[in-house]
Amino acid sequence: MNVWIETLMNGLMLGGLYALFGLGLSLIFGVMRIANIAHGELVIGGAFMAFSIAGAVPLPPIMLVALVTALMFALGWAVQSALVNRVLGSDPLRPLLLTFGLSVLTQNLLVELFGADSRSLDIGSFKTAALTLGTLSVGLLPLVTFGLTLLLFALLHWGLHHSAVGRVVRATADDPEIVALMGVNRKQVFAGVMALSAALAALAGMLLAMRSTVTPFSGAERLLIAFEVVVIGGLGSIWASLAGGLALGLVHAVSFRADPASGLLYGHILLLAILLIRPEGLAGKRRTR
Amino acid sequence: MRHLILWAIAGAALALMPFVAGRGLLVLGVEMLVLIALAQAWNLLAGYGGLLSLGHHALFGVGGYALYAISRDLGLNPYTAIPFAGLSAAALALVLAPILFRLRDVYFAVGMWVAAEILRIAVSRSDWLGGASGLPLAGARSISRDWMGSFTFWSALALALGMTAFVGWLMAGRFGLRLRALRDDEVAARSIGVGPQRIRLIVFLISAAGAGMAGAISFLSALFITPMAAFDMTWMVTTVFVCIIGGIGRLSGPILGTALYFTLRETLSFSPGATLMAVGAAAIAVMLFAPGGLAGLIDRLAQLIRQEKTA
Amino acid sequence: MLDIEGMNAFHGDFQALFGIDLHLEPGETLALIGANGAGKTSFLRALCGLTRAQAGRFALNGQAMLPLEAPARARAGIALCPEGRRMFSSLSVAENLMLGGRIGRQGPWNMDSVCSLFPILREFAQRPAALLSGGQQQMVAIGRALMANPALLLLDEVSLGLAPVVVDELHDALVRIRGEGMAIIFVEQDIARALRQADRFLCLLEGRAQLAGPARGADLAAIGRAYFGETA
Repeated sequence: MNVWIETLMNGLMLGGLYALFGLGLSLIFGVMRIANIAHGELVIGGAFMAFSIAGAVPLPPIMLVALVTALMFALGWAVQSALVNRVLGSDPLRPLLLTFGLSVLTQNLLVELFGADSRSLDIGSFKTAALTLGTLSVGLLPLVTFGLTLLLFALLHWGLHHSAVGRVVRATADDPEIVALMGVNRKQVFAGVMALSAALAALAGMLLAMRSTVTPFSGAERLLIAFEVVVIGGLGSIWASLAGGLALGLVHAVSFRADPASGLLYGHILLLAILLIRPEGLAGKRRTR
Repeated sequence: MRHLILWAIAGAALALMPFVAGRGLLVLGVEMLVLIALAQAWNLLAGYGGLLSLGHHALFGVGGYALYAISRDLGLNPYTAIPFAGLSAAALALVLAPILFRLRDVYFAVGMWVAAEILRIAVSRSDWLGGASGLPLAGARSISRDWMGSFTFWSALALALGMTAFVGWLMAGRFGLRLRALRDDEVAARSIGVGPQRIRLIVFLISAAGAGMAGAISFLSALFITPMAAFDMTWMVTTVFVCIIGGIGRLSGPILGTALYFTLRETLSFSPGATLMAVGAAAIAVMLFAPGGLAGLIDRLAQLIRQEKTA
Repeated sequence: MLDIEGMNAFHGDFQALFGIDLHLEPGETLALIGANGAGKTSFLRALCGLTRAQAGRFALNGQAMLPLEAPARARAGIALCPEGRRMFSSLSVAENLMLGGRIGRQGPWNMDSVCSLFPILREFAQRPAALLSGGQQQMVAIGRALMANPALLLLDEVSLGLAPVVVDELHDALVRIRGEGMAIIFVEQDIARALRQADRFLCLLEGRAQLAGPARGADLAAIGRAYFGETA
C-alpha cells in the first residue's frame, strides 16, 4: 500500500518538473503560435551552463541557479530578437525550421564543448535527503522542486493577470497586429516571452540535473515531454500545463512501477488517447480555428 | 522533352557506376540515393502537402524491419521483398491516419513523433522481431555476395529516380494542383470541391511507402537490424535538413540538399560534431536569408540572368 | 493638422491606393465613402501604419508620419477602431480599455468619461470582452480608441452587422465625441447618414479619390455616380 502512495507522490512531483518543461513551450506557442524545436536544448543548455559555471567558480547552489536563470533569460531575449523575430510571418514552417537548426547546432556545440558523458549537478547531501512521515518517505529535493514549481505557476498567473505587462502579453497573444495601435512593439513582447521561456526551461534543466543525469543528447526527450505536457494539458491557460505535467508524471511513475521496461511508452499512449478523446486537452479551451 | 533525355542519360550513367566505382564509393552512393528517396517522400508530405512529419524515421525503420520479417517468414528473396516493405509501411500509415489526421501543423508533427516512439518501443519489446538485440537478414545466403553491392545500388538508384519522377509527375498534374491548394488555403480548397482528407491520405500513403522502401534498401546491405539503428532520429534530422537546405516544396530540393549534406559531411569528416554544427548553422542561415533553399537561389539566379539578357 | 499628398498603399505587390490627397483641420470630421474594395479600409490602415504606404507628404501636426511604425504613430496621436472590432477576446472590458489608454496621452478621455459615454461598459467592466454582444463590443472598440486621446480618430464601419437601434445609439455617441479639437475620419456604408454627421466627405473608387467636398449640400446624384464609377 505504502509503495503505491509513494509512487503517486513521486509521480506528482515528477509531474511538477514536467509541467515546468512544458510551461515555457506553451507560453511561446500561446503568444507567438510557433513551436520551438530548440526548447529541449534550452532545458539542457541551462544544466550545462550551470556545470561550467560551477566548475569555474564555487557558488552556493541557490546563487548558481539564480545566475544561470538570469543568463538564460538574456540569451532567450537575444535569440528571439536576433533570429526568430526575423522569420515570423504567414508561413509557420519558417520559425519552426529555424529553431530546428538552432536545436541541432546547440546540441552538437554542447557535445564539442563538454563531451557526450552524462553529468549531474552536485548539491551534496541535499540530493538524497528525505522527509519521513510515519512509514512514508519523500525525497526533499523532489518536494522542494514541486513547491518551487507551484510557486512559479502562481507568480506567473499573477503576473499575467494582474500587471500591466501581463495584460500586454495576453493582448498580444489575442491579436498581435492590433496591439501595435496601442503603442505595443510586438517583437519586444515576443523577445520577453522567449526570454521568460528560456529562463523557465533552464531552471527546469538544473532541477533535472540535480535529481538525475543529463547528456547533450537529453534535449530531444525533454522536448518530447514538453510537447506532450502541452498537448495533454491543452492551451489557453498556464494551469493547463500544470494539469498536463501532473497527468504525465503520474502515468510515468505508475507505469515505471508496474512495467519497468516500458520507458515513456504509457505516456505516449496517454497522449494519443487524449488526442482521440479530448483533442483540446485536459484543461484547454476549445479553439475555433 | 530535353529534360527527359538529360535525365535518361544521367540515369544510365549512374547505372554503370557499379562497374567502375570501388566498394566504398558504392556504399556512399547507396547512402545518398536512399537519403534522396526518403527526402522526396518527406518533401511530398511536408513541402507539398503541408503536413510536417517528425516521425518519418519510424516509417523508414518499419520498412527495414518488414524486409527482414518478410524474407524470413515468407522466404522471399530480399530484393523481391523491397516493394512489400514499402507496402507494409503504407499499411501502417493507413492504421495511423485516423488518429493523426485529426491533427494539424505542430500537433501533427508531435503526433508523428510520438507514434514513432511507440513503434520503437513496441519493436524493441517484440520477440517476433528479435527484441532489443535485433534480427539478422534471413535470406542473406540466397543472394550473391559479389553482386550484392551492385544490386543494392541499382535498387537505391531505381527508388531515388522513381520517387523523384513520381513526385514530379504527381505535382505537375491536377492532383498536385489540388494538394497545393489545400496546403495554402484549406477553406478555399474545400469550397471548390477538393476533398481534403482523401487527398492527404493518398499523399501520406505514398510518402510512407517511399520511406519504407528507402529503409528496406538501407538495412538490406547491413545484414542486421536493431531497433536502435532502425529508429534512429538522425535519419529524421538529416531528412529535414536536406529538404530545408535544398528547398522545401521543390522537386530538386531533396537532390540539391543531399548533395550539399554529403559535401559538408565528407569535407568535415574529421569531426562528426562539426558536420552537424554546420548542418544546424546552414539551416538557420537558409531560413533567415533564403527560405526557398538552394533551389530557390538557383531560380532567382536564373531569373537575374534572363533579365540581363533581355535588358 | 493632417496633411497628406499623393499617398499610395500596397498589400504585397498589389497597389490598393493611388495618389490620395487630404487635408484636415482640428475638430473636422470626414466621411470616407465608397463601394466594397474601393480602398477605404486600406486608407485607414495606411494612416495608422498597419499597411505599407508611400506619400509625397504625410504629416500630423507637422510631424512626419511615414518614417514611424504603427506603435509610434499611436503615440503621435493616431487611433484606429478597426474593421471587425478586433477585441482582445481573452481580456475583460476594463482591460481592453486600459490597453487603449496605455500610451498615456493627455486629454478628456479616461475610464470614467468613456464609461459615461457608454454606461453599459461600466456595468460589464469585469466581463470577458468575447462574451459581449456585437454592439457592446463595438462600444468597447470605440472606447479603446478614445482612451488614447488621439488627435486623429479613425473609425472603420462601426455599424457593420448591427441592429438599427444599436446603430442609432452608436451614432448618437459619435456626435458627442466630436469637438475638443479631435479630427475624425469614419467609414460608413449609409451615405445619407454619413453626410449628416460629417463636415466633409471623400469618395473613393478603385483606390483613387473620385469626389470630395463639404458634406452640407453635397450633390447626392454626383456622389452616387462617383460611388459606382459612372462617368457623367
